[in-house]
Amino acid sequence: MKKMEADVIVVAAGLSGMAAACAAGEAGAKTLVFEKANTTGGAANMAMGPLGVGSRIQRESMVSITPGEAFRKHMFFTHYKVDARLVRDYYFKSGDTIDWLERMGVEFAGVQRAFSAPEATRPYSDGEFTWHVVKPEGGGIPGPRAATAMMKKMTEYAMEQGVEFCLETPVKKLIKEDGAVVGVIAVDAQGDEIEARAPSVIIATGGFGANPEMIKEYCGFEYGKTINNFAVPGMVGDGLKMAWEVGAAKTPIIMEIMYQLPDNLNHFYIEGAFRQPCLWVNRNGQRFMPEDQIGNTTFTGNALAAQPGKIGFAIFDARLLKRYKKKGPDIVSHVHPHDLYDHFEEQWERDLAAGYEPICQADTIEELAEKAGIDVEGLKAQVEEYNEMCEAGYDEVFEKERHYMEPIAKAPFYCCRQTVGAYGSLGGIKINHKMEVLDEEAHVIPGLYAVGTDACSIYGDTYPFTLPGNTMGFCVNSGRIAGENAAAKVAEF
Amino acid sequence: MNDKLLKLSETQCPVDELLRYVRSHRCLDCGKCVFGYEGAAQLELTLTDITMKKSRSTDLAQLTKVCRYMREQSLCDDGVELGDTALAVFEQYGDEFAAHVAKKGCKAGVCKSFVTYHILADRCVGCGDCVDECEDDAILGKKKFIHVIDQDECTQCGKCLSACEEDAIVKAGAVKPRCPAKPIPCKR
Amino acid sequence: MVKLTIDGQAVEAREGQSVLHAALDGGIYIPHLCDHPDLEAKGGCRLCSVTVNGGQIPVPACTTIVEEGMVVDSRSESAEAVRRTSMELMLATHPADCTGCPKYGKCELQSIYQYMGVNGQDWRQKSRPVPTDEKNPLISHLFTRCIRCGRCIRACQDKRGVKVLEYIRDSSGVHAGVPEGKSLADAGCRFCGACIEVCPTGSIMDAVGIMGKHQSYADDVVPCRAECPAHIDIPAYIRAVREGRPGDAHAIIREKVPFPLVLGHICNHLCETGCKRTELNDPMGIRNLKRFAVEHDTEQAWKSKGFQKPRTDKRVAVIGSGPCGLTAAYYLNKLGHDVTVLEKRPQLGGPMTSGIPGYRLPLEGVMEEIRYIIDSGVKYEVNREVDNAAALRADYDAVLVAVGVSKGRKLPLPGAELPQVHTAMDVLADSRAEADLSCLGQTVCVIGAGSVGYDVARSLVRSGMTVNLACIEQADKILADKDDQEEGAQEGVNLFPGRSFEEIEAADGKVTGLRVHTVLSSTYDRATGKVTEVAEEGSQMVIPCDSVVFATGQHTGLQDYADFGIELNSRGYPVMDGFKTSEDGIFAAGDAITGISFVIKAIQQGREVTAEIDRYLGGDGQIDEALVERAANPYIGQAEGFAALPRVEQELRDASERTADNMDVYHTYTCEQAQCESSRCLQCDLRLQFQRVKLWNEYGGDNG
Repeated sequence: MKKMEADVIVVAAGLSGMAAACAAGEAGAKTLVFEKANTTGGAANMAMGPLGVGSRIQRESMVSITPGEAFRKHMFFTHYKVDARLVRDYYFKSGDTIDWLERMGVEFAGVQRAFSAPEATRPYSDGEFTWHVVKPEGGGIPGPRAATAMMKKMTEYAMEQGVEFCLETPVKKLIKEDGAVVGVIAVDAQGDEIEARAPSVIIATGGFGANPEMIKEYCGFEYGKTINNFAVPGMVGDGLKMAWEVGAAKTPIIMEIMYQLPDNLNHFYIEGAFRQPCLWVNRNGQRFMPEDQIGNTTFTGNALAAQPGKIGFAIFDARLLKRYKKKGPDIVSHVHPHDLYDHFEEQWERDLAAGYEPICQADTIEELAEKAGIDVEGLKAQVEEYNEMCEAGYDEVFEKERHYMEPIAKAPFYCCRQTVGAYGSLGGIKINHKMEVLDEEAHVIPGLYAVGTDACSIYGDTYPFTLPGNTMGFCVNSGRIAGENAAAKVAEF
Repeated sequence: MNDKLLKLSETQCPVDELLRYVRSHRCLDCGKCVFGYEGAAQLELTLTDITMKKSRSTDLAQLTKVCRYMREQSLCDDGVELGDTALAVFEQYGDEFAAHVAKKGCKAGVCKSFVTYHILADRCVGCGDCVDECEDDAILGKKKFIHVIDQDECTQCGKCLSACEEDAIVKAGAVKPRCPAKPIPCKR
Repeated sequence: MVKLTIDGQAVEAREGQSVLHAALDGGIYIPHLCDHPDLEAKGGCRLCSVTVNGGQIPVPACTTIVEEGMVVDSRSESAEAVRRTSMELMLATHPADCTGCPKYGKCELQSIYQYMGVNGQDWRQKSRPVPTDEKNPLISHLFTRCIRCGRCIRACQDKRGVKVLEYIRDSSGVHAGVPEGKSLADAGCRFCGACIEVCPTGSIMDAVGIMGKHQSYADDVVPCRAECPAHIDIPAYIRAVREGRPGDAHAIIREKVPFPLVLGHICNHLCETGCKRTELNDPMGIRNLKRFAVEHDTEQAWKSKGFQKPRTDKRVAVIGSGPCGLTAAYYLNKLGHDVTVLEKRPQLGGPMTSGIPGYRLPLEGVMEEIRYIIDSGVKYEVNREVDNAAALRADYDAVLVAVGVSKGRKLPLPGAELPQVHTAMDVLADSRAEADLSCLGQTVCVIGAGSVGYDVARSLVRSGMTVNLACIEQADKILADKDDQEEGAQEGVNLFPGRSFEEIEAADGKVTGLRVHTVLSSTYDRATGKVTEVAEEGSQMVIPCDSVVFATGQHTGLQDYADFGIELNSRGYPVMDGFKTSEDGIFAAGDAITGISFVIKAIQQGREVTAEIDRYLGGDGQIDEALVERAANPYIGQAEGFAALPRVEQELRDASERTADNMDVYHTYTCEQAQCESSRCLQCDLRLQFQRVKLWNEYGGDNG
């Protein structure tokens, strides 16, 4: 068996692991990173940028939110059910971390909010300007994958600090001796085992978004049935399992909820076309939320999860479709293509012919309900009531914004079943504010740290969308803090 | 280079003609080089948007850039020819392209999105023939009332134009005739 | 050599090499996508654009050939601009969301856009959906992700000559694919996997569930070789058979095992369980091809190859001459040690010569393979039983206990102590030695229907006896393999499945029958060793017989000695630490430590313990050898109806004919049959010939 030694071992090279490696490397610790894939960056390669509060960019953009305000807002959102000390240290570090990334050469296009709330809910659900979106190389408009440029800069910076990478070399287990974690067993691309030892091991494997069994066991969703989440290959809960195996305490685990169609990649136009404030009902045919909120993917996902069968249905008619085609969508998503409705019919016909399960079309409401699997009488009554309210120009039930009150009256009718989606799992390994892993008695397991989504249990039950960039924000800051602490421990010896 | 595209008549719109040319071009059937295939795809997508009044201010600059690369970096002569042709058309009909991008209008009256249909109040007799013809229920009005086209519903199909025996329906570009906003009783 | 400058760095290149590969070989990374080191360069993607000798117009480095004194700049403004625009254009129509893509984290496109840090947001975005096709065996098509680099097409057309993949134009645009919407099988695909190997994105991938079963990628790609306990290079020897080189095939097998012919007859062929062709129709007949190769090797050229290390002065005793013991002896002798094999029976070979019946394994073949080992310099003593390994250790530098499990076990039934009650081990040994079996009488009851039970039953049928075979398992749960069951039935073995045994009945001290009753179900609890059964009421019966043979398990027999000199556990097996016993210098391996297993497993144990003993004696434990050069032609060409080619079985002799003698029940493949069968191989190993494309982060920290 090949043997390796280091001061700090980082398990996986996603954003949190790279932050840990950069921080440990720059503090002079001999750092070794094991990664399953053959690229660094993990899920961050698909993302756009992290949260920061109090950065240079914010100050220069006249964004006034302070770390203390972000902390208070976060704690209000989570009802003080989470570790306040951990939350506090995270936000107070986050502004400086943006500056730190800039010093590595990462360029940000600016600071944004991800979600701009409709008028009626603005006072309490508007996003703050905390999302630092990475600027693409050579300029241009940032979009999905923008953060990959950041991952490259971090990788280069880590290499400059002498951090060693073992790619395609997954860690299989932790080595624990006399109550302390002292290293890992990994397997390289040739299938040979490596025993690597270090006084500090940092787990950063990114949760279990690609492990349907764990999603079922810990979050109660059935992949492909009640949830269609992002499943980045390799994120199968390795870190959680190996930490629990050495006695780490478990925390509640949530899925970072949004909503998404199955196989959405091949049905992108359909998915985008139905994300509109038309008529949304549950399996019983009843409306369940003011549809002007469907742009809030977090809350809409939660609302869907609360319905019978954890599903909902979006419905529009021929007149609405014509309007969307002519004037564009009522709600514009930054994910879906701009020409949604120009290609809608082509894809719709093809998907109907191929029997794409979530969708159906009918000339009467009864037929539509039958095809979609909605309670027929329930939907008929709901459509009747809804159309009357449209006529009157006022939503007596949910007070949906008036200009979205368009009747569902002209055949054909279009329907698309909506299911919960998720970006991945959050939480699992219990940590303290130093990112040290705790056992069931809340004692530190010496030598073991956990960071990123493996240890992110500071959100309570719902992602705090009002402070956008939060998942990446926690990843980069928890990673950085753990890296610094692990390196400091070496200096003490 | 395709010279025909440089000798267009008054009734031909250069944006529309170039788009047709791109759509039937071999580059879209090949795929062996990025600049030939993706360049042609960007031409098709962007020109389509321009004809539909959905252009962005940067469109011409971007298209010029991609066409130059098609001319320079395509794998075979097909891509070179398409880039060359498009650049020549941009140059020759720069004003027309600019008018489309600025959403001012289509001089030849070809691009439907730039055209609206109107019923002239002094000619309409309120017969209702146009209403029967309209598949989109976009014409408001009843017998003996001056009819009005609901521009939100109109899809510019043009069928009403030929249905009207009074020649009361007209096509308009940038300059629109004055018409009532709601049906009012006929004077005649 | 050609000298040139790339990005200010002096580089030496081969005559005719491309600028791109000159740079990459010199450690200078230039992004590239449609280029693959094993495929002809086309220059379609333009990511490798460079300017040459101060020129303004960038050219693709992959199709530009090096010239003496050339000055290449990959970072010039115009080259970077071309590269960036090309990448932006590709991303504008590539799916925006990678998270559902199975290639995530191992995708070349992803790595390059990470390196370049661009995205396609300045261009019109378009989705080009192509329905995912997972209906083909082994290969998934997800062409929504295709970027038209054409690598799969070049691999399929030019490198393999299979010519299935082409550029396809459909309503969503152009992508790689199979023309006319045909399935891969109908189009003539040979499922070599070259397309999967070269695809830089997640467009063509191994079907779900094919990969990830083994520890390494190579093992996942070539599962037959991985599943074989000795890791014999199976695709290589099948290729040699197909190309009419049985001698080379024999040599390839010999690289890993000293008993090719034995294995060609009786191996339990785990390789076939792993064979990817199973996904198309039936697995390759690997074992049968092995037998064919050995039997048709007329030159025996391998004998003059292989290593023989100089003699050491170390002496090793090997107790037991089964496949494990002889394998260890063979390799220890090659390593230069002085080896003596000690066998308690009158002949060498263990179960190969005294257990497995002749109709499965002809004696002459076994003897020839044993003779080669002895002729190579291994000493031996037969009729030499060792009762204390520690005492033996005093005379040798190392001792290997490879005694196998040669002692049969009887169930504790009333009557089991009668003189007409035997164990399978004893009966098989006598049968093989053609000793007098008349003590068994005319009708025999065999208890236990595993492989050994059938060996006894079928052997005794050949001695003209009536054989009743009884076991507790229900008919569909019988442990012996299907061939044994079918052939045994044809030969007249009477099967009594689902029976529980009550007593061996006797009259005047002589066995008269076996009393049994029918069980509807039975469960065995591993933890307690207890069997719980549900009996059928009123099903009691007596199977008449003159003798009873127990084929109900075996053990080492070591606990029967007063003191064998090493620590044993309660079941009579040595207490082990790897291959080490409790005593220094005494090792154990094979069935004696694993319990009853298969010959191939015992051989592998023999190889592994050899390395351990050699290291103990001061050697390096290295026993790998190459007995023939490999040269696999990657151009496999077209083969009509390839996917449906049926598995060729060895011809089974007629039941009445085969029970009349004790000869092999199967005819070996004819040359034509071997040719047909070997031609079915998918040649999964060819995939590993492709070089892996190195990503930017593997070029060290001084890039970008």
